[in-house]
Amino acid sequence: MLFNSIDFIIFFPIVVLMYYIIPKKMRYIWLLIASYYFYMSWNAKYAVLILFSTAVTYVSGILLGKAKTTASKKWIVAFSFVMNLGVLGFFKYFDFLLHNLNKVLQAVHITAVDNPFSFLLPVGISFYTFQALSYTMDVYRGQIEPEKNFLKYALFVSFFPQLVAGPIERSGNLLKQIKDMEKKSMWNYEGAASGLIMMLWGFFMKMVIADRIALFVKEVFENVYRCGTVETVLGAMAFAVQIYCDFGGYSAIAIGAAKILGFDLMENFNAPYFSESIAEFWRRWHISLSFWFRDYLYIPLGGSRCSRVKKYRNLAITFLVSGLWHGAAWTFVIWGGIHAIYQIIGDLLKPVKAKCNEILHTNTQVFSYHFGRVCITFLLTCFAWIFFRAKSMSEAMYYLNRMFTRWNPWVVFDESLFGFGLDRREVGILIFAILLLILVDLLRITKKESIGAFVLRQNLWFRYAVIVFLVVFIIVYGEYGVAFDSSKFIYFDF
Amino acid sequence: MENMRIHSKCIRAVVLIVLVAMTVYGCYKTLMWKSTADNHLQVYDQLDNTPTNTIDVVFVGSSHVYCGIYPSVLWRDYGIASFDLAVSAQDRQSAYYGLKELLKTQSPKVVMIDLYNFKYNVQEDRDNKYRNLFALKYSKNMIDLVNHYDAEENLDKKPFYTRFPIIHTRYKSIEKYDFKQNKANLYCKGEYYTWNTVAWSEGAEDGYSKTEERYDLDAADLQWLQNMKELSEEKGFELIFMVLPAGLEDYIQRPVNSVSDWAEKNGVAFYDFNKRRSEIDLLTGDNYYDYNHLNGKGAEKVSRYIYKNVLSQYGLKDNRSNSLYKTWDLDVKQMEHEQLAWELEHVDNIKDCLDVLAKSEDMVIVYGLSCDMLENSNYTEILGKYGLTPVSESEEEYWICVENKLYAIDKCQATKGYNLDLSDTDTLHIDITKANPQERVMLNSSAEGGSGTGLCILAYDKFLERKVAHLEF
Repeated sequence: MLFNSIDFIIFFPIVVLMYYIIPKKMRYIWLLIASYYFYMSWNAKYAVLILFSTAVTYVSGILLGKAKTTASKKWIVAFSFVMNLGVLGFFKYFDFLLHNLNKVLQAVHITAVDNPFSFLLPVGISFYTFQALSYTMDVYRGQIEPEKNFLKYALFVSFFPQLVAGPIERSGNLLKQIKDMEKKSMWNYEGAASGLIMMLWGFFMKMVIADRIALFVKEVFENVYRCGTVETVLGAMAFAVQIYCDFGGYSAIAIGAAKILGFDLMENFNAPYFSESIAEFWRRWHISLSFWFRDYLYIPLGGSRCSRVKKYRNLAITFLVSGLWHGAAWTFVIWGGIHAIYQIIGDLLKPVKAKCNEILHTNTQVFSYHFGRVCITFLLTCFAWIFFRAKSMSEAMYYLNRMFTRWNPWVVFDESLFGFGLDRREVGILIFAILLLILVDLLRITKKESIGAFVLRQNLWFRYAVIVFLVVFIIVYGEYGVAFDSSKFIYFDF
Repeated sequence: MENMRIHSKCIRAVVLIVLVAMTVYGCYKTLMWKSTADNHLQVYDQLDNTPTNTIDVVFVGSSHVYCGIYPSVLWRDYGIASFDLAVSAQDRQSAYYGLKELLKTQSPKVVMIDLYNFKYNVQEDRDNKYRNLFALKYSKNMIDLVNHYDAEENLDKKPFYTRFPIIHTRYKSIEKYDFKQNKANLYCKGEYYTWNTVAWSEGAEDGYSKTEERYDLDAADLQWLQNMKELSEEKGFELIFMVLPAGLEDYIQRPVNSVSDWAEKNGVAFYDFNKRRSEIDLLTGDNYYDYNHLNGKGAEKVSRYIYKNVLSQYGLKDNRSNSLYKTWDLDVKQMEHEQLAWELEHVDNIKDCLDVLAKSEDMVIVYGLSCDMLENSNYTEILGKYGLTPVSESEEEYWICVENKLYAIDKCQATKGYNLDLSDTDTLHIDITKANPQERVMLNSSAEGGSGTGLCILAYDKFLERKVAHLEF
């Protein structure tokens, strides 16, 4: 079930109510049942896959705990990885591989191979697979003891708030909290209040901003033939906002829901579009995934503690794999590759930039310097997002063609921009909502606290006003209901 | 101390929940579909504002009912307290559950149900579907209606139970009456007032179905008929099926013929007024506002005909002297004012206009004449014949007529601008110093002054709370 659905609005309060009514030692069982119910509401059959992943990594953990030699441990880790990545690869990449194989076969005039399978991508498979594999690695590295209680471990893998789109949790955080459930206090008022505000903010981001701006993005990307520079640039920027609010909104709802249940999940987004470099962007965007790749791919490859060439090689591999993780298409790989190139070039140009600043006497402490860096970083990410959003390479190239060959500034003044899915009223609502988003993110980077924590520190009247405002804005201006396509979260396809 | 803190947190949580609930309810009331006939009149609000156990006759159906039968006429002429429980394109399940909802607070003696929508199983117009499914307030009848709605297969019911997923989209079309109750809902009885006519071509009668064929009633049809009969027996009212004058096509007439057979077999009265158009004198276009709906003139005839040929046999009481039935008096006043407003819309000469205005009550009328027109024409003489002479002399251009007294806007007021609150949302502002003659008379932000070359008349009906005429002669 989607978070922004009537089913979830009914499901979640029942889960919370029962959670706090039943005895503490039974709570994890209740959450496990609720999590599987949540997952099976998408497609009951795919519960087998998550159970399989859970069983394999659980057994791997136990075996790792008993293994005596490093070699045997490595075999166990390899087994866990092969089994899990095999399932992920099959469900997610089989079509892609077959499609590319057929292209090669066609090029050499050999008959294409038919796809004997027909299945939907299981929701959240990329997320829970990585989460389960991180456990295997953490046990291997001795960072955590193997979990003996299968049900508690199963809850770690399937915990419903973050099951289908993250944050990708670590065993050292979430599993530890599950193990310590009985030690938690009966009810944490501040946690619940903060969680509620986070959830409301997440719904606001998703339903008011993401789903609304998606209408504009869709119109631009599906009608590129009538777009020029202005529309395509706005379309790319709009998609940047859409994907941030969609994914960030989901994460906020997940973190808020977990908080209400007394769990602290890791932060997944930290005002990413206020980053001053691409490297910083990846420390603020989809933090759980970046850290996963850093800890389980980049560092094992050697990280940055090697020659520059190897460092760049490691960066490239990490980002190309990250791109592929996002989707089974070359556009995602290109997107990942672009980010790798950004970082490599950024690193190479560091001394050049420093020299330029010195020659030009650039003051690097002032607002204009930081603002300029933020703008440039934002534009670079927007450029890369074009490949992420485009359905194919040819579509992405055509989009860029229109962007760089059809200079048309008059469309800003002739109101034709209101013909891209959003009328004046909708644009007005969007602008207001985005200004609010900027304000919240600014608060985040200056006060270094989440919106939930910030609001909770304020006086009662302000807290109430924020909650009432968010509720009203979501139920009135949220994009939901029969007149709209209640679009699922973008990252559900991963 | 700890207990006090917990106590205080509980109280705060409860206060927050109440605050959110009140705000959500406020949003719901604002966004809710308001009209049962696309005119911000909501028949179930009118029902709620009708005193308990005062309605003696209920007419149930779709637009044919609210256009074709005027309870105001039955009240004015015979003292019969009736009510049109009618929603645009009302399907039969909406009719059944709507009637059940009415029967919670009323005990009518006669219920007449129009069968036009008996087999209306395609709600092509989305707004009509919403009007019907959102007409009832939250109640068991509303839930049952959604559950048994058979005008659409595979209806997704969840949004209709919760309502917000649909109604919240109305933020795109919010109007004044979404925030302010339409006063007419306090006393009207479900009618739709219009006197517009349609150009009636010769032979238009031939377009109406004359088929005598029958249609095999299925289990669902029979169940609905049986439910209605059982309801009438349980609640003790006389059930009558009818067909009002409308352009029925064969596919509608066939099931109607079948129902008339069923009614005869089951001892339920049935009247096909469509076949009695000649008798009711409805054969000309001035009785209809389109080929399928009667106008006020036609409705008056039908209402009187129904009284004389149907209702008079039930010994219904004349309640005109009963103070409990004040709302019916106001409904009659509403009809009279709407009729006057319609007449004003259709006058084309100054004499007819002034004749109509002379009949009016509760009007604020602004007459605008330029000074040179005053001297060079006989407007003052014309106005004088209607008793409209200036109370005070003035060299200025504008007068206001309030309760039939003509007040000149004197110099002092003219330089300051003259303001008159016509209702709690409309204000009249007169400033004859404006260079543009049209802006000399403003109704809120709308320029209502004339071109300055003749007599300009702006009429505002304070009872209807709206402008009813803006004419220039």
